[in-house]
Amino acid sequence: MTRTRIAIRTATLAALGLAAGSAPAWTQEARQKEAPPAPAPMRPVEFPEFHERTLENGAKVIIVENHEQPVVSLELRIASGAKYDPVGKAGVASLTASLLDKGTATRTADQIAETIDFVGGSLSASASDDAISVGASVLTEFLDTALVLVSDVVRNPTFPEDELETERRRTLSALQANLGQPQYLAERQFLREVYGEHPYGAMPSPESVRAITRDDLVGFHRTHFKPGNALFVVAGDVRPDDIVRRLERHFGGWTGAAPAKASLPAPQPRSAREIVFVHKPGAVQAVIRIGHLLPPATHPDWIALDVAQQILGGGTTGWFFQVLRQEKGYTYGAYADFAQRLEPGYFQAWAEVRNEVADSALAEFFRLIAKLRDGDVPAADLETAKDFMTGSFPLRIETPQQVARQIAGARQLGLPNDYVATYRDKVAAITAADVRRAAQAHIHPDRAVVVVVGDATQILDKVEKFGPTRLLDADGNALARSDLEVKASEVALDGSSIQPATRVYDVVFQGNPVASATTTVTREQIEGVDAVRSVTEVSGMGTTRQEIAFEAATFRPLFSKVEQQMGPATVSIDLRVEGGKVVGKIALPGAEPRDVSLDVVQGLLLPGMDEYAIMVADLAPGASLTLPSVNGQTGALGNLTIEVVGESTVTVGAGEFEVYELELTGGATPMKLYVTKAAPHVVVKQEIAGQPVSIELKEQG
Amino acid sequence: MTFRSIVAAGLALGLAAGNAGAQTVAPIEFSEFTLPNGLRVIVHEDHSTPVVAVNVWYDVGSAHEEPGRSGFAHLFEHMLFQETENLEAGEIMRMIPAAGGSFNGTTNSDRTNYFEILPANRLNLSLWTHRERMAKLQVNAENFAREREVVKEERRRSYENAPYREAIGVTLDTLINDWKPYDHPTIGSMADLDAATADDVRRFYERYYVPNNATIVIAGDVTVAEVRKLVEQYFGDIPRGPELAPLPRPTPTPRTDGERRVTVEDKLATLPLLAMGFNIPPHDHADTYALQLLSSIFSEGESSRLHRRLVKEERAALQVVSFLNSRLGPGSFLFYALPNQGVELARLEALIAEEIEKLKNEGVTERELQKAKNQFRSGQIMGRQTVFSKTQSLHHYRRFHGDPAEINRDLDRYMAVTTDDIRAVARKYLTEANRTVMTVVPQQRASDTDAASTSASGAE
Repeated sequence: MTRTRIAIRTATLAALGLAAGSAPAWTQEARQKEAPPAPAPMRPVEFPEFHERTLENGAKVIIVENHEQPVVSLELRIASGAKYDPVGKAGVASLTASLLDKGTATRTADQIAETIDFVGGSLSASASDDAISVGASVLTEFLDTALVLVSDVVRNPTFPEDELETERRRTLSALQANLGQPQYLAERQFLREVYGEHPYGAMPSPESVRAITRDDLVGFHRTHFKPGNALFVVAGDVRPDDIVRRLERHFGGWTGAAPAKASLPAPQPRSAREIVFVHKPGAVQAVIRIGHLLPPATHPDWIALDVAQQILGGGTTGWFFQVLRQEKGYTYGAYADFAQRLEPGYFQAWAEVRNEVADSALAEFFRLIAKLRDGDVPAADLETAKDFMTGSFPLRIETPQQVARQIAGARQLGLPNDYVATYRDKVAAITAADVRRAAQAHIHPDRAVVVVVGDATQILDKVEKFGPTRLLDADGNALARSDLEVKASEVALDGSSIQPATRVYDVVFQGNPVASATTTVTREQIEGVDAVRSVTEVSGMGTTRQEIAFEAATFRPLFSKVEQQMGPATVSIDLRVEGGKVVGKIALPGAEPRDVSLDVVQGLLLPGMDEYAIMVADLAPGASLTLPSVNGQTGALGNLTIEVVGESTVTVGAGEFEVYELELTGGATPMKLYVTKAAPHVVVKQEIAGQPVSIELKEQG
Repeated sequence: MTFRSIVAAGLALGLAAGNAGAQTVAPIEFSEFTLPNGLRVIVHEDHSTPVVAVNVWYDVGSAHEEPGRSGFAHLFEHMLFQETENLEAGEIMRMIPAAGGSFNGTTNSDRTNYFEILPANRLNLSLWTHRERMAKLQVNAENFAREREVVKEERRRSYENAPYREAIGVTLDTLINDWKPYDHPTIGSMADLDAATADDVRRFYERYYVPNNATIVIAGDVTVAEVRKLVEQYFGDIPRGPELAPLPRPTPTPRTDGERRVTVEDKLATLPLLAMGFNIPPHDHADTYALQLLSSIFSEGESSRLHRRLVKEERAALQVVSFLNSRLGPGSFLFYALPNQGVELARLEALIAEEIEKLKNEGVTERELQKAKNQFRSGQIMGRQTVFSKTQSLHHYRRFHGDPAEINRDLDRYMAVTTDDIRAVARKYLTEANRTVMTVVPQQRASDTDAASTSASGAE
């Protein structure tokens, strides 16, 4: 670690690596060359000693003593995680963790941050399915500072309302961005399918996050943050007796037993294979997730399953990668995950593949899984997998903190004390017969769920050959085949009332205005009709110009154009209606320009027209409106859904407004709009999912 | 949150605030030996985990490039992943991960490094690949042409296609400095990359990639005896290379010849950027310690001076940072700031200048200095927990301080810095006569020309 801050140019490893062939060159036929030296005998990994203690209040302590550097890492794990989120309120554990250091009975969020900064340390908290973890790292001399802070945030958090709202907004925004990601939709649907009613299958949704109140966090904290439910994991420059004394001092007044173990609904294995197809209009890739339940982490077959995972889909040497990417070129990568949990885990084979090869890719996945079950594992493949696992193991236990995390992780999964210490030897002892037996016992492709997220109009027929198929929309609701067709709008929109206007918006980044957008609306004769024309120009952050026009009385689109230069990225959309068709071109960064040619259906919106449709629509609490629209990214026809999800008061530069909160889905990017309750419904504020950017009305005239 | 209330809060908590209780850091023990051909080897035994880091530095960087060959040291680094007598192109990149390890190579103005982190029983594999690279590289027109394209693509991707990179990495750096070896950027110019030939590669290889210009640092679960045996076996027969002439003496710092100023148009930038740099002495100069902590006081963390003033109080900047580019030759003390909408760069410049003047006049408080020391110590010590980071550190002290043993003495010098020292270096180096100001403005698309993205000359 050098102090010099010199720009370092790394070798372009990826670029170079791509030249690599499918088989390692040094295993090919003998050459008249010197071979690299054979490995020296593998060193025994003497797994570092660790100590276990129990505090008087019942909290358990694991200590990894290592005096090499004067550094201590302290972690407190509460053995309750997202699986104890109240039904319908997925996200409680996660928000509880995020808010721990945002205020206590005696310290503000700023004070907590200042205190840890001053000593050059770090403090953080996070939640997983099975646990909440609060961690701090400091130099030994500041150990008491860390203990004071961890004790305070764990025992006395106040969960301030304003901090909750900030965190909720951040979470919702990230979620909304996720909902636009096919990989996220696939993961969410996969977990739902595999776990059913078991809470491992419930990921936070916008609804569940909105339903969470401060009382939920207070309640979760009061129930679960008990010393009887706590494990301290201390690693580094500490002496066991001394750290126990300090923990007794800082956590002495903390009392309480672990909550009674909640009984969770048992996840049910499937009896037959099922395809679950999530329709994502315009998708150019099929996102594939194949899998099912596996036994809990304590099952004795898990070491063999780990080796099976490495053979099948571990990194670039696994069969999936070698075949689906290297041999066939279907995808950038294909892998397998075998997830270990306290309760049942799961097996998952996954890849994103080109639309055209969705069926071929599924066939290869099933062929390779069958090959594993049939025990057809070449000795060289078994050795490659085991060499990697035993070789890389020591690199994962290099620092005391890594050691402690491995031990605590195993403990959390209910595994025995020597599990980590003996792992490498157990892997080395696995035979091809072990792998085959474990695969036959636990891997069942004929009882797997196959989640595919993609454009059903393109690939549903390819995929449904593999089993009975259920079709869902992106929200997870059942979709009929007939819903795939984009239908003419039943709502007749009339834009005659739209008046010429100028509106100026601030583009706000993390609370600071960074650019300005001006929209000018005019009424003029275009192509012989009375049209609404709207031009929006953004300055201050790249350059963007959007121009649209449509016939006022009928909303019949005339054209829609976007030119944008943002950093290195250029966007160009040029669509117009000619002879009953939408024609033109869409050019986005990093993609070939696409030609668009679509039939115009009744009520069709071109990109940018949604704002005006909303302006004249009948809005009311709970109202929902679906309109056919052209996706500005894919050029595909889709159904844009506009839902009124709330009412509130919003203050922006132009003043205070009573607004409806709208969610727009099914368009190019999910977004949230705040529009005036009073008609015409003018956009007051716009939030783009997952970006710390909002657009706010500054002035209008 | 005001400064005083932080102090009060700290006192109320009874938290350790001073370094009275600061522990001494355990020394990093190491041995070294040098082969008759000049190859220097430094070994740190650490038997806690059966892991080893092998880190080879060649004491050559872009500072050593010939006129008209900028970018060559980095291009050459790529060649060291190509064919050798017993290895195919790219084979190292497959062998190391297959053995459970990781690897990389990097180039800067002062050195080029190549390293692996592996299970300890594969020390032999790592050293064998380094022997191949030091003694048996096979350069030919084809592999050279291929890698040159890869490097040009890297330049396109990370410089020409990234906002500010060309302006900061190419124009500013060379404008601050007058030292000849640093008058061009490590990434080089396209023209120079195009002009390079396979013969240049061979000449560079023979001159710089020789045992007497290389140092191997090894840390991990190995013994000195075992390392010596393997090193002698693999490297003993490689002939010594020519002795190298030292680089010219560093130019004096601070400069006293007056402010330099340039405005650069950047076609990729979306926001304007203010950059301000001051020429500072080579890394081994005694003022480096105070300069490093000064930078921390200016901009590390949300309670730092510039963050509080420019981002929180004035809401003038989206972001402001300062840092040291400290190296073998003269370096720079840099400030960068991005404005909020409607804020002129001139205002950011004035605010930063005002904060600098304030610090020069009033100095810093003991608590600010202590915080900077805590942050620095913490970073240093936490960065010593892996065998790889220890190899980098030993190399750093050998190359930039002339003695690896400095690894166990250097931190004390940071801890000895006083508030007077901080004010003194601010007064000495952060002067108008030593200042270089660059403003980067987004290129207007209206002009729509194919003009180069920088209007400054002399960069390439």
